[in-house]
Order: sequence, then structure tokens, then C-alpha cells
Amino acid sequence: MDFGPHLFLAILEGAVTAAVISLTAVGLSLVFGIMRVVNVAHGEFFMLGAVVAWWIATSIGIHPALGFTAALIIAPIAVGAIAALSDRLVLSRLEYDPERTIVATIGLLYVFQQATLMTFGPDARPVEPPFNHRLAIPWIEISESGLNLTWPWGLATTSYKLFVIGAACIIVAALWVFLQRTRFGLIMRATQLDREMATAFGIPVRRVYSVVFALGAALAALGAVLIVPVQQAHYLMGGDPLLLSFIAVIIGGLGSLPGTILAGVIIGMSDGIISVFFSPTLAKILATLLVALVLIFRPQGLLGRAP
Amino acid sequence: MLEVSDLHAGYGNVRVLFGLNIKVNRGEVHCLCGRNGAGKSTTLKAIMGLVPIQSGSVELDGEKISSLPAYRIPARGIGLIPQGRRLFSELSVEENLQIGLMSGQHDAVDQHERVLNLFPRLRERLSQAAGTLSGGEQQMLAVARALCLNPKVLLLDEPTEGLQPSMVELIRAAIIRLKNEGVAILLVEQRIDAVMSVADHVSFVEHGQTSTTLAANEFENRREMFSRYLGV
Ligand SMILES: Nc1ncnc2c1ncn2[C@@H]1O[C@H](COP(=O)(O)OP(=O)(O)OP(=O)(O)O)[C@@H](O)[C@H]1O
Ligand SMILES: [Mg+2]
Repeated sequence: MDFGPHLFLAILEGAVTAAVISLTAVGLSLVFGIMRVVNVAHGEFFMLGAVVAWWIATSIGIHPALGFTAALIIAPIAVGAIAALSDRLVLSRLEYDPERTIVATIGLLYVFQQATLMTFGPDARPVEPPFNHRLAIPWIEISESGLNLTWPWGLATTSYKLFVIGAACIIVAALWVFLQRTRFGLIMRATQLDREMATAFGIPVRRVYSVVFALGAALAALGAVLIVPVQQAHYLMGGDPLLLSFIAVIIGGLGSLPGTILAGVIIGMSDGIISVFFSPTLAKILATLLVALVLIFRPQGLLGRAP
Repeated sequence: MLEVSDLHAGYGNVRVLFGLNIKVNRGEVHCLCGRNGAGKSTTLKAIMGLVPIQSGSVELDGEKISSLPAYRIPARGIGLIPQGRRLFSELSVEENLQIGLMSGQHDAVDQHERVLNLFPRLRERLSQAAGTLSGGEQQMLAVARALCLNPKVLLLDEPTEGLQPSMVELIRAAIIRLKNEGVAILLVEQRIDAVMSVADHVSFVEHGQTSTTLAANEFENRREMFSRYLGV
């Protein structure tokens, strides 16, 4: 196969990763930006999303599309509820102290991971995609007779992967509208800017924090539900999304949502492309190297504001 | 109307207020004077529930508001104009006002209009980010944001700090107007002329306590108090 079509395929694969990373990273970024909490357990909310999705899909099991749709709605809500509970039981009791919450969320990480291992087991389990048509990708070739549309053998994606990319775009856009145009979005932005003044104007900051933590977790869960038909649910699957989300948040600029999304796309794309051409490990190495470079040359991140 | 009795408060282990007493009535301007670090801003924050109270109480119309969670206090009718303005700088002027309107118990559309009529300059800049306003405009917005609550009690912390005379005059006019509408005003102010011209009572704060409270007719005879506490 030629390099061109191959690259195109890698970009599509990368876009799927980018979509999922962006969603997950935006959740992490919201929580950090508004609550100043570094949520080390964020990857576990991703994992829980996938596991809950598997559980819903298999227990409904009439038609894959029905199970998947139910999972897409219920899993983020369930994971959000778990997150809100963790916030009440743990984070709020620590007064959202930046250092102590890091340790506490490391604890949560193990609690969620081990609880999943004990109930769900150590196996990776698949969820059937709601639809999965194989779509051959056309390629334009330049030959002596001009431009030719060809269908290189083996060059294909699936309708489901395109759906993942589209769904992530819609969710991120909806989140943006929610933050910028709704009353609760305004409350969240005000709380982020000045917690004390928000209280002085009647905003119940602790409740806002619970909702934000739940929303952050729900975004990770959404990312997981979208990817689980491609990747399978497993109790250790939270590690990579956590690492990549952290990288996206740092590269994008702490607390900057557009920066996080941009970085999520860059990380996801390069991860997809490098994984196709070289190896997934090299992709992670390069992404981590990129963080180091950004921290050296632009410590506030790509779109972050200089302090 | 607003009564602070034997208030002890501080930040964590740092005690700042040791038995502070203030009483502000309807339609009255009560000034709080004292040297830097005396605890004036802390007093206002403690009234708003933003600083933990160790003992003593804050009552509004006989209701003990110091036992409420802080976020419920604004809706009782207390508006704060904090030191240094503390606007939501990345939000627009309009959004800052919307935050003020959230807790108010009144018709929000009406109140929004009334406040903008008081500060027409803000009306021209509704979509501008608050942080990009000039210092004077920022102070107007800080006042306007608090007025959006339609407060019965207004707490102002050095509202004229760093403003040019015409702006100081505007703020002074707004204070007198609110006072005449029956709002109880607790004003932290360091400029002797400003204090003398609007205050009905002055309390001097020293080491976290109110040492003396004077009524307006005593100001002239006790000028030495002002020089002592304001360092003029
Ligand atoms: N967040 C805080 N944490 C710990 N101590 C504080 C905090 N804020 C203020 N203080 C301390 O409390 C004391 C009183 O401060 P406060 O701001 O009330 O003084 P002030 O009378 O308003 O002074 P100024 O005229 O300079 O505004 C000061 O010694 C200050 O250092
Ligand atoms: Mg002060």
C-alpha cells in the first residue's frame, strides 16, 4: 500500500483517539479549573464508564443498538453519581485542599480499581457496537490519464468510528454552549474565578463543586462508553486515558478548556498516527516528551494565560 | 437592623477580631475606621460568613444570620462591595450583574434597569470583560453588582480607594441616595473628609475591637480621635 492512503487511515484512527482523549481531558480540566483538585482517579471514572456500559449492554441484550443507547445515557449518570458521592464523602471533608485531595484521589483510584476487579473480574469484555458497517476509503491517484478514484485494498474504517468522532464533537460543543449560555454555566465560571466572592453573592460553592466533579466524571464515562465497542472493558483500562488527559491538560494550559481540547486533538492524532506507523509505546514516549518541552518553553501551556 | 455583638473571628489559628460590637440602623451610614490591619475588612467578611466566627453573633432584623451557611446570607439582603473590587474579571459586565441578581428577592428585570440607570456608563459596556474596565468603572460595577441584590444592608470596603475626585463624588452621591432610600450602610473608609461628610456614626477599630463609637455631632470635638486612627 502507498504511504498516502496509509497516512489517511492513521489520521482517522488518530481522530478516534483524539475524540475520546478530548472528552476525557475536558472532564479533568473542568475539575482542575474550577475546584483546583487534581483528580488522580479520573481514569477510573473512565474505566467505570466502560464497565457500567458493558453491564448495561449485556443485561439488556435485545439488540446491540438498544443496549448501547441505554449505556450511553445511563453510564455517565451512574458514574456521575459515584463521583458526587466521592465528593461528599471524601473531597468536601478535606476542604478541597489541593495537596490532600491528590492523596485522597490516589486512594479512590485503588478503591474503584479493586472493587471492579472483585465484581467484574480480571477479564476484558467486549461491548457490541450499535452499528458497524465497513466503509472502504477511496483514494485519488495521479496517473498518466489524469486523476483516478481508486479503492485501495484493505483501506477501510467503520461507520462506528466515524460516529465516535461526530459524537465527541457534538458533546464538546454542547458543553461549550452549556458553560457560556446557561445560568448554571455562569455560576460555574464565577466560582472558578473567585470562590469567596461567589459565596458572597449567594452561590453554594460546595454544591457547585459536587456537580462539577460529577460532570467531570460523566465526561470521562461518556468517552469510555464511546470507545468500549472498539476497545473492550477491563479493570486496568483507566491508566492510559489518565496519562493522556493529564498530558492534554498540561499542554493545553491548566484550566483552559479550548487549550485542553486542542491539546487532546494533537495528542490523540499523534498517538494514532505514531501507533499505526511505529508503536503505541513510542507514541506515549513522544507525548510525555512534548509535555517536558511545553513545560520548559511555554510553562503556561498552549492556550493558558501567563501568570 | 444590623447588629454585631461581641464578635470573635479569625483565619484558622490567626485570631483577628476580639469582641467587636457594631449596630447599624435603617437609613444610617456607619463608618468603620482604623489603621491598616486593624481588622476592618475581616469584620465585613465575618458578617458575610466568609470568615469563621469563634463566638459572638451577627443579627439582621433580629434573625441570627451568623449561624446560616455563608451562601444564604446575601439572600437575606446583605450586599458586599469588597476591598479591591474583586469583580469576576473574565466575565462581562452583564454577567457580573447577573451574578448579583441571582440571590436578590425581587423582580430581576426591574432591578437590572434600576441599577443601570444609576450607572449609565455601565450600560454602554455590558459586553465588555469586567477586568478591562477602567478603575473607576470597575468600582461602579462593584457597587452595581451589590445593588443588584436590592440589599437592605450594604457593606462597603474602602470604595473610594484609588479613585479621582469626580469618581469619589459619584460614589458618595450613590451612598447618600441609598441611605435616603432606607438602606443601612456600613462603610470602611480611611479619608477623614469623606467620613465626616456622610457618616452618622463612626466606630474606631483597634486590635480587633471597637474602641469608641461617635455620633455625628461629636465629630468636631473629637477630631483628635480621627487623627489617632487615620494617621492624619
Ligand atoms: N486570609 C487571611 N489569612 C490570614 N490572615 C489574614 C487573612 N486576611 C487578613 N489577615 C490578617 O488579618 C488582619 C486584619 O486584616 P484586615 O484585612 O481585616 O485589615 P484591614 O483593617 O482591612 O486593613 P486595611 O486597612 O489594610 O485594609 C491582618 O493582620 C491580616 O494580616
Ligand atoms: Mg481592609
